[in-house]
Amino acid sequence: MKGRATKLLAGALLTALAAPGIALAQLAPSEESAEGLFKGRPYSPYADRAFPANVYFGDTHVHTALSADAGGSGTTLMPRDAYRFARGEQVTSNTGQPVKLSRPFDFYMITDHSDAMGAITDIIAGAPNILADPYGRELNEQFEQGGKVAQQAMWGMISRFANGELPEALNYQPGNPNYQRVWNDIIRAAEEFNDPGVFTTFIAFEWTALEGGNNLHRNVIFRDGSERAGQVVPYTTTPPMGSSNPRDLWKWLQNYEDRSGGDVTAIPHNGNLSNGMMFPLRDDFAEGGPLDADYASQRQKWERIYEATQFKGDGETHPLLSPEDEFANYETWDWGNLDLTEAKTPEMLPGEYVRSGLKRGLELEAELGVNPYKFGLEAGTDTHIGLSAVEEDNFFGKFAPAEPSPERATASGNANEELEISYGDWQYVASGVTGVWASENTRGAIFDAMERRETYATTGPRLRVRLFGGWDFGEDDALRRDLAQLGYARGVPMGSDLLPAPDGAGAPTFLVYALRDPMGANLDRIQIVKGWLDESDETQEKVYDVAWSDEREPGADGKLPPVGNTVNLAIPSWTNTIGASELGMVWQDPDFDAAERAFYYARVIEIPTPRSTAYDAVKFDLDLPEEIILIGQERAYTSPIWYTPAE
Amino acid sequence: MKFGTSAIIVIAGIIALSMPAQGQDGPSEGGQTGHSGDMSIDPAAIIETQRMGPRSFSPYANRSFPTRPLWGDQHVHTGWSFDAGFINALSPEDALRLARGEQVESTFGVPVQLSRPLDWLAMTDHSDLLGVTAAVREGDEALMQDETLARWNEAMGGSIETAVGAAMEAISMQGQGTLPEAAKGPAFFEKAWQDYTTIIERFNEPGRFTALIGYEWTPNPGPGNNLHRNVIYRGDKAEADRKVPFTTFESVNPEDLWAWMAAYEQDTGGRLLAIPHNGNLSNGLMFAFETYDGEPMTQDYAERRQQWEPLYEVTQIKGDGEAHPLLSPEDEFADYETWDEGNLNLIPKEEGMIEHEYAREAFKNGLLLEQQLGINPFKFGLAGGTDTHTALSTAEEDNFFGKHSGVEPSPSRWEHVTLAFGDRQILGWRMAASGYTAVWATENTREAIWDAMQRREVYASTGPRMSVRFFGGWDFTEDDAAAREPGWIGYDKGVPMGADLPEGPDGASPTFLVGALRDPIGGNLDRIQIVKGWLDAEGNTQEQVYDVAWSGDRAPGQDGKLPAVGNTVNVAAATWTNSIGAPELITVWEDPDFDPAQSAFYYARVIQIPTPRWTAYEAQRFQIEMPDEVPMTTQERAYTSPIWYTPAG
Repeated sequence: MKGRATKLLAGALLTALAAPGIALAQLAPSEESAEGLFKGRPYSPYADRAFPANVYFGDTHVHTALSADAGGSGTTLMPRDAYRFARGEQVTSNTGQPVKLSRPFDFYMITDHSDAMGAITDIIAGAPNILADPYGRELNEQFEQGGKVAQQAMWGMISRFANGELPEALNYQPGNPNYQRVWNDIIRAAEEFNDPGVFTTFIAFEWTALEGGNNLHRNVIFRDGSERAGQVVPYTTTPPMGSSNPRDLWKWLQNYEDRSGGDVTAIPHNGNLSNGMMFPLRDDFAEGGPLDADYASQRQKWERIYEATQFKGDGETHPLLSPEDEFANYETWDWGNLDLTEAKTPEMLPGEYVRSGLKRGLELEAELGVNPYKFGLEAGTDTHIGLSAVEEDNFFGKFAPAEPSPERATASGNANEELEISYGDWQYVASGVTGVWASENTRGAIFDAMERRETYATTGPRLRVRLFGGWDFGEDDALRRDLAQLGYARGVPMGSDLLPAPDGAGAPTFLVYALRDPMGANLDRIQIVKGWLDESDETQEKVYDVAWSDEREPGADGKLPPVGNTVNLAIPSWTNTIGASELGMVWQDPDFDAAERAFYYARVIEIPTPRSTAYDAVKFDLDLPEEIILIGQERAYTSPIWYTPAE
Repeated sequence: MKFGTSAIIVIAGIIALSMPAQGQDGPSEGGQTGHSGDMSIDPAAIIETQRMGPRSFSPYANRSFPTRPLWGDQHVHTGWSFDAGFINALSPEDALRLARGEQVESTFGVPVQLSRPLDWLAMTDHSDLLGVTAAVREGDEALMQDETLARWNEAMGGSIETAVGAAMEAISMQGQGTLPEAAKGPAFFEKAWQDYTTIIERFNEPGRFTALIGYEWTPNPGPGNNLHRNVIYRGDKAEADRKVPFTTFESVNPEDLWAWMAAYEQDTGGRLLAIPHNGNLSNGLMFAFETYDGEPMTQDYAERRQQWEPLYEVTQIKGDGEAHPLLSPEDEFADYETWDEGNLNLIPKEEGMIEHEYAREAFKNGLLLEQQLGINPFKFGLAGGTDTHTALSTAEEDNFFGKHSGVEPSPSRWEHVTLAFGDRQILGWRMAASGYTAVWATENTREAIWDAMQRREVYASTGPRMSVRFFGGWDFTEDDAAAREPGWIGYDKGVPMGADLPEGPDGASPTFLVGALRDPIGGNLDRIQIVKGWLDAEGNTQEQVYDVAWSGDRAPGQDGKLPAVGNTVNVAAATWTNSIGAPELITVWEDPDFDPAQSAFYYARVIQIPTPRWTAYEAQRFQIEMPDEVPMTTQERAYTSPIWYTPAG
C-alpha cells in the first residue's frame, strides 16, 4: 500500500497545487476511530458531550429605576439600560459616569420590587396618568424643583401613604392598569434582549416580604416568555392582593403553573438580615407552631437555590456559628435586621446562614421526612442602580448616592442610634455572580440547571468550579483534563443526591476542580465543607482543606498556613506569583458514617486581592480610616451534594 | 438628583422594600440617623481626579483600543480545493460551522467539535479549479455532460480505491494540462466563486463571528517551491464577486498577484492583503534577495511587497517557520517542528536556501535590504494558520484532525507518508497541530479584523489561546508591569506590536512592556522572551534572544541561560499538571545593548510549559506504541509581530 501511496504522491507533486499524499491504508479510519477503542467516546474530546460543558455567568438580582427605593434615591437607569450594560455595552451611570463590564454576562434578569413597581418613575417623569391626578401633578412639580421642596414633597407623600390617603392613581398595585403597563414593559424589555445562545434574559420580579423589618425577600423567576408570564402580574406583599407569608407566595406560584402551564421558581436572599426568620425551625406565621411536612416539601419544591452572597453581606456562614473556620468572617453583616429596627442576637444566627440552614435541613428532614432546606447556591448583586458593576476594580455601589465618589467610602450607610447599631457604605460588598452549568445559553437550559441546583455562587470572579460525588473516584481522576466526562459518568454533579452506595462501598469520594478567573487572581485552596446529623441528632460541621497551592503543609492544629499576600495597595494591584492557576483533587471523606445524613459542598478561596475600597482609595487619593477593609479573599461556593442513609 | 436621599428612603421602608442609605441632611426619625454623602455628584469632578487622568472610574469604559485578541484561522481548505476534494466531502459550510463552535462530522463520519468557538475564519480554498471537485461530487448537471467528470463522480461515490483512482487520473491530467475544459472554463469558475462567497457571506455575523472572504493563490514553481499566498478580502460578497480570483494558470509570479490586487482595488474600491506561508518549503525562494524573475530587488519591489504582504504565516501543520537551529544556534527553542528536508516535493535543500526561508532571518535581511533600497521589503507581522485540507481547523493537540482527510485520526496515521521524494519521506507524526492567529481588533467585524492585520497588530500561536500584549516605547517603568492594565498603559506610552518605535530622546534605550496570560484551559507559561535582530556597525545582521520574564525561582546559569522549567507530562495518560510555570507573566524590559545608530526589530516569544503533543493523545487513545524518534511532548508558543526601530535621518 505504501508503494502506491508514494507513487500517487509523486504524481501529485507534478501539479501546481499543494499535494497531500494519500495512503490507501489510511483512507477509512472512521470505524476504529469513531467506535471500538474509544468505548463510545469519539476522538474529539469536545464532541458528543451530553453534559453541561459550559458554565454561564449571570446576575439574578437587579433593580432599576422602577423600584421605589431605587428610583426614589436617584436611579434613572431602566431595564433596557441594565440589559445593555449586562451584555457588554458601555452605558452612562445614574451619576453621569461611563461604565462598562470587563466582560459581558451570559444571562441576566431584572427583579424590580413587585410592590409599587414603576410608581416612583412615573411620578418623577410626570407620566400622563400621574399628571391627570391633582396630587400627582403637584408632586411631580415639586420633584422638578428639587432640593428642599422635593424633600418636603416626598415627606408629604410618605405621610399620605402611611395614612392610606394616597390617591389610587399613585398607588401602583395589581389591579391598577398602570401597574399592568409597567409589568408589560418589563416583559417586553426581557423579550427584546433575549438572544438565545448569546445572552439570555428572564422575566422576573422580587417579592419583597418584610416582617417587622426582617428580610424574607424572594426573587421570582419565570422559565417562560411573554405568552405565559404575561398572563399574570407579579405577586406583592401588600394585602389584600398580596401577603408576606412565603406559603402564600408558593400558592401563587402553584396557581401560576396550573393556570398557564408554565414554570417558575423562587430564590430567597439575605437571611443575614432576617433576624433568624430565613431558615426557621418553627412556623413564624403560625405563632411559632411546628413546621410540617407540607411546608418542607413546598419549600423544597419552590426554593431550589438560595442567594448566598450579595452587596448586603455574605451569607455562607458566621464566625459564631463556625468558630473553627478561619474563613467564616467574610463580609459579615450581623448588626440587625434589614431596616435596623431590631438588633441581632446570637440565637438568631442559625436561622440566617447557608451552612446552618443546610444543617437545619438535615435536622428537619429527620423529623418531617422531607428536607425543607435542600437548596443549591447562587449569587446576585441586588444592585439598585441598574448596573451589576460587581468587580472590585469596577464597583458602582448599591444605590445611586453610593456610585463612585471621593465621599462614598466614608459615608454612613444606615444607623439606629437608640440601638447603637450602624454601618458604613464601605461595607457594601462587590459581590456576587452566579455560575450555572447548563447545556446551552437559553432560558430553558439555564432555568433547568437552576432547578436541578447545578449552580454555584461566587463573590464576583468568574472561577470555574466542578464538584462531583461518587463512590469510586480514584486519585488519578483529578489529573485528567477531561474530568467532567468522568465526573458525570461515574458520579453526580453539584446539587444532586449521591447515588445509593454500591455493595461494599467505603466512604464517598468527591472529584473537585477549580480554575481561576482567566483575568483574575490565583487560587489559595479548595475546601470541602461537610455538615451532618450525628447519632444524637445534633448537627455538626467540618471544613476540610483538600487541595492547595504552593508547598504548604498543614500545621500541628491541622490548619493549612495562609497563602501569603502580594497586594500592593498603592497601585492597587497584586501578583499571581503565589497561589495556583488551577487546583483539582479527589477527596474521600475520612469521617464517614453510613448511618448519618450529610451534605458536602466545595468552597474555593482566591489569594488576597484589593477590595473595592482599595480602588477608591487610590482613584480618589484618599486616606481611609483603619477600620475600612482594603483586602479580601474572594471565593466560590458550590451547591451541596447530599448523602441520605438507605432506609 | 434634585432632592436629598433620606426622604425617599423612608417611603421605601414604609412600603416594605429594602432600604438604601440614610441622608444626614434630611430629617431623622426615631433613633435613626445616617449620612451617605451628597447626592449631587459631579462626574466631571470625579473624572478630573488627579490619579485617574482623563479616565472614568470604570477601568473598562472608554477604551478606544483593542481589548481582547480575536482568535481565528486564516488558512482553511475544504472539499472545494482540488487537492482535497476527491477525498474530502466537507464544504465551506462545514468549515464555518465547526469554527463557530458547532459539532460537525468529518469526511469519515467522526464527530468533531472545537473546545471553544473561534472568533473568525478566513476561507482560503485554492483558486485554481475552485469548487470543481465539490461540483463533480454533487453531480453538477453541466459538468456531468463531460464523460471524464461523470466518471469521476461515479468514482467518488464508489469505494475508496475508485476515488483515489480518479484523484490520480485528475492529478495526472492536470500535470499534462489536459483537464476537461468544462472544469476549467470561466463560466464554471465565476459561478463557483459566487457560490463560495454566498456561503461565506451567510456565516458572517458582525460582532459575533466574522467570516472573511479569501482564497489561496498556490504557485509551486521548481516544481515544488512553495510560494503560496492567502488573499484576504476586507469587503463583502457584492464587492468580491466583481472579479474572479487570480490563479496560477495566469501567473506564478508574486508580482503579478500584486498587480492583480492593485487592479482589484482600483476597480472595486475594495481592499486586499496577501499572507505568504511555508517559506520552509520554498527552497530559498520565499525571502530571496532577488525577484521571482531573478532580478535584483528594487525600491519599487520592496515598497509593493511591504504594501501587499503585511503578514506572514509563521506556523502551520507543515512546520514552524520562526527560526531554524542552524540559523540561530544559540537559541535552544529554535528547533521547533522543523520541516527542512526539501520543498513541497521534497526536492532537497541546497546550501544557502534556509537563509531565505525563516521569519527571523527575513526580518534581519529586511533591515539589510532596507539599508540598500531605502525600504524594508520584509516588514511583516506574524500570523498562524492550519492549512488544513479537512475543512476542520483543529490546532489543539488533544483534538487534531490532521492535514487532509486521508489522515484523519487512526492508529496508523503517525506512520503515513505525508511527503516523499525517492527514499526521503516525511511521515504523518511530523505534522504539527498548529496554528491560529490572534488579532487585536477593536471589534469582531471584517473591517476591524482586516485593519488590524493591515497594521500588523496580530500574533501567531501554535494552537493555545494565550493573550499576549507587546508595546514598545521610551519610558515604560517597572511599575507599569504591576498595574494589571497593560492595555491602558501600553497604548498610552508606546506603540503596539507591528508598529514602528517613534523617535526616542537622546541617550535613551527603548523599553518594552510585554505580558502574557495563559490559555485559560491550557498550559501554564514557562517564559517570555524578546527576540532582537539588528544591523551592526559593519552592516552585518545580528540576533539575540533575551529571557525577560519567567516562572518560579529560576536564575540564569553561568551561560546566561535560564534553566528548563521542568516537565509534568504523563505521556501514557496524555496529561500534565499546571503545578509548574506561571498563569501569567508580565515585565518591562529595556534593551541593554541598544545603539541608536543601528536599525533593529524586537518581537516577543512566549513559551508554554511542556504538554502532551498530539502524538501522545493518539498513542493513548489508540493504545499504540510509536518509535522513540516521535516526540510526545511539546512546548507550544506564541510569536508576536515585531516592533521596528529605525535610526533617524
